[in-house]
Amino acid sequence: MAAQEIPPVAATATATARRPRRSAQKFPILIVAPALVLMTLLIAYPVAESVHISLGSWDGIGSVTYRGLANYRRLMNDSLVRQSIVTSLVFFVGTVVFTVVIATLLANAINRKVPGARFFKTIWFLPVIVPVSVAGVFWSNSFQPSTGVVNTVLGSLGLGDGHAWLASPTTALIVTIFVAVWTQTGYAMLILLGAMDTISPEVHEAATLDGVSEAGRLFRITLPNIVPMLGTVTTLMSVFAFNAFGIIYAMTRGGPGNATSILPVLVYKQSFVDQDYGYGSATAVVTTLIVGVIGVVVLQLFRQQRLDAR
Amino acid sequence: MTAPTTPAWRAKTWTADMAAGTRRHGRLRRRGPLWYLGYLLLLVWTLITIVPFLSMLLLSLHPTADIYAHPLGLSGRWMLSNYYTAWRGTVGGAPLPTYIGNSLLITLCSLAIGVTCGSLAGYGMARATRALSGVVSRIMVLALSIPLIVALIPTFELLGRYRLLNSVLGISLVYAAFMTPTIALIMRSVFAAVPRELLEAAKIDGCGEFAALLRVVLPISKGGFISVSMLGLIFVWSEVQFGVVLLTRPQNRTLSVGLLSFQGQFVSDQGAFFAGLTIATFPIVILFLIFQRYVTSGITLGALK
Repeated sequence: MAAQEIPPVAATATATARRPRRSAQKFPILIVAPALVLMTLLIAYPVAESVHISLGSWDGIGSVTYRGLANYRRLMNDSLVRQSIVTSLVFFVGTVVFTVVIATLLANAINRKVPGARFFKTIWFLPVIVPVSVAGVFWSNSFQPSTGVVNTVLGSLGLGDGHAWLASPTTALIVTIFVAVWTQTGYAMLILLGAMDTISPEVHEAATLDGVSEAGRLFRITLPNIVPMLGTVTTLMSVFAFNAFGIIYAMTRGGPGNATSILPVLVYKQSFVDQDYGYGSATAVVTTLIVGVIGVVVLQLFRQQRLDAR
Repeated sequence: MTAPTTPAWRAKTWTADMAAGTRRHGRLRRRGPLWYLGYLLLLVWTLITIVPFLSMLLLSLHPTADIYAHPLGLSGRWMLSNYYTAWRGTVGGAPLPTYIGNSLLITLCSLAIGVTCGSLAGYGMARATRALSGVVSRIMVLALSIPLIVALIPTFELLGRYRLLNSVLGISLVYAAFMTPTIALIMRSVFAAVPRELLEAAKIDGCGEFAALLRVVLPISKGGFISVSMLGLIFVWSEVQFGVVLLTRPQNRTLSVGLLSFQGQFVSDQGAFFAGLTIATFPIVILFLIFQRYVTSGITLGALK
């Protein structure tokens, strides 16, 4: 990009053009530096230090006592950790699949300009800006057995009004997945809509003339064109889902029992409730590795798809 | 969402269209039963998204007894005193205005740090050679994909070491660091759209790099700054995971963290509970409605590499 700044005269002689380019690099490096320093101190250092703490025991004060891989060995035999990994995966798959599918359909509706599209775009995004703790306490209040609005509505439809949604392990997880989908879908929708808007309207018009139905166009035109962005959104939503501490903490604190303790909640409990920071760090490191593997798999999956589409 | 595709229909559309000689095919699209079913589902999703906002607002205007009697909030006695109760009552150790003040202060402070660092980095990326820009943007994307939980315990240790727990500066630095990669990536796209000729003209006028940035680039990138500030505001207003750990004293908590103890506090006073939620939600909703264009463009820009 710096090449464009070189005056036209110098551009004819490559030897003289090189020099200004190198000195022009100083300014960008200088102004990128503050961000990199901030991120090194508060992202890179903590991540590295997490690995350090996970290799020992630390009670929150003083220094870390080195214990080698003891924490990781303990992790392998901890049924709570195993349960939490399964819970996280269920939560992750449920949240990401529903979010991406619903977001794609919503974005497609806006892109195809259904009646009221502009209004829908605003309304559907609103849950994203609600603080997660508000969303959490509101919905957990709504799902209460005798007082919640959800049971009132179900009762009036004749579907029974006595469900104790958040007291049963299965329904509690389903409800938290629902709330996570509720808060994330608008975000994914906007990103996908951005990608869909880059598809030329002529392509759709030509297909309409050839008699391709709405559904046919979604599968044959829209989806193949947004495959790379679907990959990005899926990765982003996966990171969100593995960070969904706020929703779970606001709604259930990880309960009933440990039914909704996804990994971040477990890390919080191990470290800040049990004061076992070394063990908590080991769980956090394992969480990161799982997220990393999922991210690579998702991106690979979508890369494959794009090649097939060609 | 499909239309019947019988040959007869197709032929009809085609001829009608040719005759009209317009490009308004959308008007001629036939809507089958499946289209209406799809539209109905869109309306259901609309209800699911909007009902919490309406119900929060409606229920905040009723006494608790009426809320239990009419959970949809459409009838019963109407009153405003719930707002007074929610505003004056202590929630989890501090009154609501304290949390709101803390949230505002932390938002301003973290935006000042995050937007400065992030947009400088974005400008650097827009001006650097492709190789350097690529390296920096890869670092930013990597930082975005790390699950932040892994940084939680060491951050707690780090801030504790420098006595920055329960302080505005401490948590603002943390939030600023988290929002920096997003801001940098968005601002890079914004700055890349600034015409080169303007920069060259500024240089001819004798402006240095910094002067050109301040006097030429910043004024025309105002929209980008509103975008990233709104996204940063939404992030800080909502963040809980680090807030819970780094702000342990009630009087230092942000609104989002304070609200976590809301349900237990107002379990018997549902009216005040909903009034508190409304106070926490609607200012940011109104702000979003005002700046919607910028939020939308920010999210789209951030995703398109």
